[in-house]
Amino acid sequence: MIDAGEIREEELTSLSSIFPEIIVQGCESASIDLPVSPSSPLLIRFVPPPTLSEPVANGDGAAAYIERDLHLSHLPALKLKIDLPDGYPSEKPPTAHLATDHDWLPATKLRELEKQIVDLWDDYGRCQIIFAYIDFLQVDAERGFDLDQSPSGCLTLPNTLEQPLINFDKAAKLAIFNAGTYDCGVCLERKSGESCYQLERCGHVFCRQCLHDFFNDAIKEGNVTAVKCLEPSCGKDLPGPRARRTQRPLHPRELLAMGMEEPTVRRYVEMKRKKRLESDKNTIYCPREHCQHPARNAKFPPIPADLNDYPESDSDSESPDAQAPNPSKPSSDSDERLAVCENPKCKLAFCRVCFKSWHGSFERCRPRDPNELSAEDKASYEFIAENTTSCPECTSPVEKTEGCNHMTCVQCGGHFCYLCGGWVDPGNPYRHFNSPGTQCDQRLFDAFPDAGPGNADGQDIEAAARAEGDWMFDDEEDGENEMPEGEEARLQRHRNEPREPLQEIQVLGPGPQENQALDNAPRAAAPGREALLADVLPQADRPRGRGRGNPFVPGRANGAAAAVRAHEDARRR
Amino acid sequence: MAANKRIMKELGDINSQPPAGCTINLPNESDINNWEVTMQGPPESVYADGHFKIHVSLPKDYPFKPPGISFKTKIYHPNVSNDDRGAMCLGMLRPDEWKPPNKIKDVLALVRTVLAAPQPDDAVETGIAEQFKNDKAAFENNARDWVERYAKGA
Repeated sequence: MIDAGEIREEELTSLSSIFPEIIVQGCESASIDLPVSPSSPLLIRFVPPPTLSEPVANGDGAAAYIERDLHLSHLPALKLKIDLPDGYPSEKPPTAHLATDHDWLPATKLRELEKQIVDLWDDYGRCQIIFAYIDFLQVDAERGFDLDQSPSGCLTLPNTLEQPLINFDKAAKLAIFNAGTYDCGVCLERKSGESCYQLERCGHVFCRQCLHDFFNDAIKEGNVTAVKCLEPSCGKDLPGPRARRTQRPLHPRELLAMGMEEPTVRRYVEMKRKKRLESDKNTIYCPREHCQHPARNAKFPPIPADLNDYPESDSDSESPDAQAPNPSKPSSDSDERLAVCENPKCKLAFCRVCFKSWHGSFERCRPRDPNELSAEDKASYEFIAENTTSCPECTSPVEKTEGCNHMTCVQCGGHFCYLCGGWVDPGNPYRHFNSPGTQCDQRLFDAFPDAGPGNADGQDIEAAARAEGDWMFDDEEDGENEMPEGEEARLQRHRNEPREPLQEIQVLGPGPQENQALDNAPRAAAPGREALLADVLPQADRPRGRGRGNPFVPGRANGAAAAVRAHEDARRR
Repeated sequence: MAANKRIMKELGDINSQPPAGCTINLPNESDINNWEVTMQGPPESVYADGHFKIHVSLPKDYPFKPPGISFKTKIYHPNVSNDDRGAMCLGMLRPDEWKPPNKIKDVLALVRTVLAAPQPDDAVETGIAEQFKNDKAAFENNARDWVERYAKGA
């Protein structure tokens, strides 16, 4: 009879010739790593650790529960150690110990597999069973341990294992790739996998040298659009006109991975960005002549220090940016006007409408170059410049339809003088018009009211004054500078008000009828007002029409604010 | 040099397996960047009886840049310039379409395809293209006439 020890030794010896990588210790135990590469990639779901996934229940918790499903082709090896007891093979079964790196295979599965060695030993009639068992494990590994047959249809693992397993899968794939040989379509030579590179997206293989030469050339020449797969048929197998577009430019990460130098790759990324910035009509440039860098733009984020972090969604196919703000249309959101030069040495904050250095959100401005405006826009700006006074508090342009020169801003309720645009004390607004020596002294009503039908009808001065006074009164009551309906009660109340301003106007300024007449008469025929204006505004060239009612067009905001608002309103409509 | 090695390889391949209707010569044995190809007109085309001399010049950075094709034999064709250059520039021959794995035999195959089926929408000779589209008979007459006149010698 043969000694059991000899049988064990014989079995282990033959195993060693079948599996050279098996490690045998005496004749008591053997261990071997069995690679796990299922024939169809194994679906694994990575979920956050249980403690983190608890708040799923609450309302918006759905987003907190992030899981990722991945198909992996290669998984860390199954480590098998078999102990052969003294009675093996005839009396005692061997014992198997299974483990995996990162413990990716669930313990229940491992125990189940370990138990199989005993069953097999029984089934085979208690003989040498190790080869059969290893074969069984290999077949099972090939089937992915039937983990996809589980109720969830996949293997669920904590997401802490995600990166290690992905890395393992990548390394295994790379090792297999490197072991192969490939025909490079450029130099037409057969090269080892190590000196070749497989493009991520399409899987085409070229030798690194040819890729380097070609891409270096292309980047040097500035032909960045050529930096994509070299295979002529690549991306053209798809039908339709978009076929060519499916060939996307290479990610800088790939260029680095194939061994190109960082400065070259950075130049590639910079040129790409520059091209896209320049082709975007919404890009604006720093107004400093020595700088001229583009302004920071959320659509084209700066290039990250590590090119591997370059955004993935970078493609040549420009999406029509319908929602992008149009710089020629000033927007109500003042922050949209703020632009900051992206040059780190400049960083000028400027306005994308007027191209002056940043003036704050409350300043109204107009485009620097009038040629950029459409005729309609230009007319709007000009009308506003001629016919409005800007509120000193909010810069809203205010147009007076009628009434006295004490204005209440419709936007912010600020009090100001329509003549000089200056701030007026709301507590005692008339002092502004009663301060001898100032330009607005005694000129509360000193303006040409609109040549509206009411005035043209030739009402008596009292009626006109009433109307004006009433308007003034309304202005004070409601903060609205609109012409109210002539309500008798109000008129009555108004008549009871102190009349000094009206008196002054009758003495010092021409009444509405006179103004009406003046409009039609030669200027020289209006001595009172003209002389008065001439005192204040010596220029011969004063604005005509209603603009004459506002000879003190302030230099600063200059009514442009209304232009801005006119645009906004037009946009809203 | 990588480019030379590749050209030598292509030359070897093309000599052992010449593309249909083509014979390749190096006018100057020491200059592998200039090839002379004699192409037979594709059968059943108006050029069927002609033999066309085509000069293929391989740029220094070939295969990163496309080869240049010029017909030394005059040909009445919308895609071949009717001048002393006899240039053809379409499809893969355009610099922005060229891909390094394309080979000279692919280029010659393309040239032959274009001879068999002119591409009037991509023409260099717009007048010939118009005629090709609107008056096929006249075009074919002219083309045959030119074959008689220029492509029958040698």
